[in-house]
Amino acid sequence: MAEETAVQVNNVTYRYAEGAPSVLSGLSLKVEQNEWVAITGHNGSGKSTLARLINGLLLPEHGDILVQGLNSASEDDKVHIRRKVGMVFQNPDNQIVAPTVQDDVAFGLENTGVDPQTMEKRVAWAIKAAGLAGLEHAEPHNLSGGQKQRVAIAGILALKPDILVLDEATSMLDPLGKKEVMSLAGRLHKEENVTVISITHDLEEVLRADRMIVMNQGVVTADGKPDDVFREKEILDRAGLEQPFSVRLREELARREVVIPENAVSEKAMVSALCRLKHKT
Amino acid sequence: MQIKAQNLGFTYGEGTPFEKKAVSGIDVDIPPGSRIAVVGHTGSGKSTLVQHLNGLLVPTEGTLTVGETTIRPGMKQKVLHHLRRTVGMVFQYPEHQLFEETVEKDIAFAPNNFGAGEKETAERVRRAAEAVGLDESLLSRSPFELSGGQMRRVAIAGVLAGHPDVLILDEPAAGLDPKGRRAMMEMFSRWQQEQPFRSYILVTHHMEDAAKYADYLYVMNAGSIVMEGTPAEVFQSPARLKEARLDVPAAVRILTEIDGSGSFSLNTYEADETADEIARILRGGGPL
Ligand SMILES: Nc1ncnc2c1ncn2[C@@H]1O[C@H](COP(=O)(O)OP(=O)(O)OP(=O)(O)O)[C@@H](O)[C@H]1O
Ligand SMILES: Nc1ncnc2c1ncn2[C@@H]1O[C@H](COP(=O)(O)OP(=O)(O)OP(=O)(O)O)[C@@H](O)[C@H]1O
Ligand SMILES: [Mg+2]
Ligand SMILES: [Mg+2]
Repeated sequence: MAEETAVQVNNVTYRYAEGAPSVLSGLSLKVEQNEWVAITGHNGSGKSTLARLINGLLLPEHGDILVQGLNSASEDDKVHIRRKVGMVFQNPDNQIVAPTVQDDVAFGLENTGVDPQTMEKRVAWAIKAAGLAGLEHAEPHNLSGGQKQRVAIAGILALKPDILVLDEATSMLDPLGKKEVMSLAGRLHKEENVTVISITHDLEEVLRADRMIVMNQGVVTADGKPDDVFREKEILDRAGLEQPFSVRLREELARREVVIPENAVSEKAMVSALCRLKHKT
Repeated sequence: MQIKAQNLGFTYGEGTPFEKKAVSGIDVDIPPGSRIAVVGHTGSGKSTLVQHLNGLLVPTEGTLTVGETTIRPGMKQKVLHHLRRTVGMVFQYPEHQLFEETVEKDIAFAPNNFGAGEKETAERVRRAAEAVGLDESLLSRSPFELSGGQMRRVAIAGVLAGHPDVLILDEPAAGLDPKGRRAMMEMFSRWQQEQPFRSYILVTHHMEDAAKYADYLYVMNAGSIVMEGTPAEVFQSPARLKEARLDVPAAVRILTEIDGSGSFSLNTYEADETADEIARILRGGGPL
């Protein structure tokens, strides 16, 4: 079977109420199977709206949305789309439904026809993967801000979705927690071919993506490799963005005639390059 | 306003089968005019600690003095209501503090409630909305029909409009776009400097923001304060921060790798300043 495009957004326009201004205007984009795409842009640019359209929570006014070929406007397809797309919402409170962490993580699995044994295993795995071990019996509403966010992540991981949509899913996690969730998503992406769409204001998180999409007032104003897009200062500025620290540092160093090789991208590689320069002088 | 905690502890659901000790043995002393940051891993007790400062939580152990008010275990929350007026609190999740029909009414709530006149209230709403970068067209909208970052701005504007002396900021920039984050932090900094008695207490996972926007840090781990000092002091012990599941800012990490002796000095922790320091070290040290 030919690989199907994971998500296809065709000329989509959306407004929340009749007469209200359109939030997305003629938006088109394609996300291929097993891509890792970061979506960024200023507050109110339409990122969460786009995410809700992708999982069929909202329907376009014009245009259409296809998820692995299934149309979100079709009632029959919608159920299947919900199974394929796992979405972690921006506010975890909206996702909490059960009185214990364990039940909450299991909730989404209950109507999927997974047998009880597999279910138990998956729930245990997701809880551990999201860093919630020991909190299985805690009440989700009585957790810290970051712990709640971990519950929301675990609930979606347990579903093993083909397409993982993370809407600022790590905004309340400590830096180590962020790294753990990102490397977990990285493993699912590599080993299980999961497509990752990560909506984020975290510029370092954007650098991890294969591709970056910049949204500005409901339209896409840049789409490409993070390394390339992060050079477009004008576009970034207009979309409420900045360059990540590592990119700015490289530019500032170049201005001081300290040149780091292009291929030294990670912090570790940059540091090694700088240490070599130090020993030469 | 002076804030002083002595051996403060708090247990959620004390005496119930679900009781959970969240913080204990906390000592802090915050003079008026301070810029403080509280950092710590997820669940380390930051939100619990700061919710004591405006009387939202009453300690179950120790004492807390906020200005003229001394708070001890067993005190009724009701008698502490006046603290909400002088100590403004921006919650970790903005949805938890929005409740009015429109954005405008939401921001106007505190000044109205504190008896500012109609004209004064309108002026405060206008100024607060401008300070947080909220477009005027959003004022008539429902605060629940906004994007995440827009809600965050409304919540902050609502607290500013109450004209507090102390601001408690629990992850105030989470969900803001990068330019918005910077602008918001700069705004808090300017707000603090406008009056010698104004303080803020910033809870953040962004070590860079803690470094740049605080003069004194408290580091929490599993319900206790395990380190404190100026940012430079705290960042001198990366190993101890690691024990608390934290890390130094990228600028410090890079400079420490290049120059093990730690003879560098940072103020803004920004890329240009870091590049200056790296260039200086590569030239063989030279004067700071
Ligand atoms: N439920 C709603 N009803 C009406 N308008 C809405 C609703 N949710 C969002 N909007 C509006 O739609 C626009 C896009 O919002 P959206 O939440 O998609 O932005 P975003 O890019 O996710 O922003 P943020 O970075 O702040 O999360 C904003 O102007 C917002 O005010
Ligand atoms: N309402 C509550 N009832 C019972 N336990 C709670 C409640 N709120 C928080 N806790 C627990 O108290 C501890 C401290 O939580 P707190 O919210 O203060 O952490 P935090 O440092 O703010 O974390 P985060 O960075 O995730 O926001 C955690 O173990 C948490 O599970
Ligand atoms: Mg959003
Ligand atoms: Mg918290």
